Amino acid sequence: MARNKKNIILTLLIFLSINSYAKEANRIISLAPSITNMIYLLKAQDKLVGCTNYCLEGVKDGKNIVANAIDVNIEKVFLLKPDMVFTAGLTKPSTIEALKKLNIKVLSFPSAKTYAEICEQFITIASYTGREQLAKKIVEYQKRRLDSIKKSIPKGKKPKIFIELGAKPLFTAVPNTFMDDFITQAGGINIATDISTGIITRENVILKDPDAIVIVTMGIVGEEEKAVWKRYKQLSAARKGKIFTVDPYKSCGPNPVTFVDVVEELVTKLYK
Amino acid sequence: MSRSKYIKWGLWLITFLLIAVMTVIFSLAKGEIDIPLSKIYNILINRNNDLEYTVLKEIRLPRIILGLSVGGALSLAGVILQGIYRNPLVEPYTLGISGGAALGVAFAIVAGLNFSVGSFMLPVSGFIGALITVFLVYILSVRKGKIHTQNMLLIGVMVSFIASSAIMFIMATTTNENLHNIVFWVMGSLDETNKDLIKVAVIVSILCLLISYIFIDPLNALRLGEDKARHLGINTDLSIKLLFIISSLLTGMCVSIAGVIGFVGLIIPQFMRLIVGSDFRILLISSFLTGGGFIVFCDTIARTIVAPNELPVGVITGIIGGISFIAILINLGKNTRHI
Repeated sequence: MARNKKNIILTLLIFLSINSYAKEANRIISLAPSITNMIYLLKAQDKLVGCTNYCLEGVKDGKNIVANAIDVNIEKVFLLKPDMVFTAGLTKPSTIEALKKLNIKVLSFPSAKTYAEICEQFITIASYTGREQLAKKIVEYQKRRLDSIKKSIPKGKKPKIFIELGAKPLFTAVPNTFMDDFITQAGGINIATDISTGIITRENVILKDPDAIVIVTMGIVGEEEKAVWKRYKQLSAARKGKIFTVDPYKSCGPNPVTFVDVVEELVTKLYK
Repeated sequence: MSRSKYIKWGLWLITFLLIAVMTVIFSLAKGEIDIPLSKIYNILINRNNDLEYTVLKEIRLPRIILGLSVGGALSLAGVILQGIYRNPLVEPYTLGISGGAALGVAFAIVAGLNFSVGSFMLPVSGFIGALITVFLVYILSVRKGKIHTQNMLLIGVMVSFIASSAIMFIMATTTNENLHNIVFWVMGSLDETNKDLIKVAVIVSILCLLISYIFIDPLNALRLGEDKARHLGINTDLSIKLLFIISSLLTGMCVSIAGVIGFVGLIIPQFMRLIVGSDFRILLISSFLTGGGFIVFCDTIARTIVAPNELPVGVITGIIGGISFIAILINLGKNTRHI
């Protein structure tokens, strides 16, 4: 009986190891900069054989460019013989279908809506690169870091926050996006909870009177937008001097580490 | 006969002016907060730095002024171009001017000029792009010192195609953020926070309207065709060249500040021709006034219909303009005047 049990466990272990071996990919193509970024964070870049022309790390490393912001070069993807192609929300369904018809494994990640989803996607990617343990360690550490940042938020009324992603037309983060989760994790309330698409009127922002305005852009454009908001003297954010910019590269395609970086930056600037 | 014609024109002008003023008041009153008509005047005069004053003065008024200028300028450019080419399908964007402006802006975005120099680089690059396109179309259409208007039209359409392909090329090779910026710029918006640019729009559009009145005789004579106009003693070549430059300036200015707002330059001149006739003396000013009012009206709809979201104004100009124009043409039936 005991022997039988041993045999069953042994078979199960062998099956699991074969299965996990089969899952691991050695030639990966990433069609999204956020995914490429995660692969680099997992130190699995040696398995990356292709990426897009806007994956900063991949381009710097001289990886094969197989896609741009609009199209994927399916022929090039095929010729690179990938074991796995990772795509994100922006890849056209027809492209994914075409890749599948060529017997290429494709795993699509929808745009993450929360920090938890970003972590989940990170661990899934890690499981295909044989770095699951490292990924879990990173996620655990960052979650502890996030908790301690959240503990430092002073108790009291939650600040109303307007997050500006584009100026003309005025564009903001809607609920159910990781951008919205930045605000939630930083202890604030997104003023754009009642809008469905990102374009919002300046009038609406003024009426909702945010306590802080976060502009996701750098350089002169960010400074110009700050100056525009400061003109509206009634705005609480203008009176309190809580109009600031955050790094677009970290905040637009976050991984478990950069997400917490952005929340830390927000918390520092919101409550200092 | 002549006197009654002038009275009729006067009445039309007063009507258009009244409609434009009513549209402006409607636009001032409508928005996230509806401000009662009776209060608007007091709020603007008392200048209490309250919420309603800020909304009226800092948001709605600049937008309305820009809308009036851009709508007036696009319609004026449309009237002039349809006059030069004697073709009712010509509009300010047919000649590749908007394509050139968009290409200029796309270059500026990709080169990061808006981040390194300032966001005013977008309208400046758009304007330079428009001027280069106009110059190209012009140079390529001149043969032996003479402009061939039909050639010019064809070359303009081709340049327009080349420009849009070049934009596609830029979009295909650039980053996601740049792509987002280019797409949104092309959509067009009157939400301009730089007051200097709004002043430029007002000055350019009014100046061009005044200058275009110098060319009333050539424009009216050109209705008979280039040859007949020449027989009437009109220097058609020079007039066409200068009118072309005026309309290009107007279009370049509009596109570079407010993006691509379609249909206004095509529909308003045609609309006006149906109502007031083809005499340019009344047609220019009527188109200017109605075009301005039309854009202000459409913009008010665009920012209130799905509030607190906002629609690109071009969506509304296209839908309202297109549908009402078709409805009028159908109603006029077989008796419709040729336009």
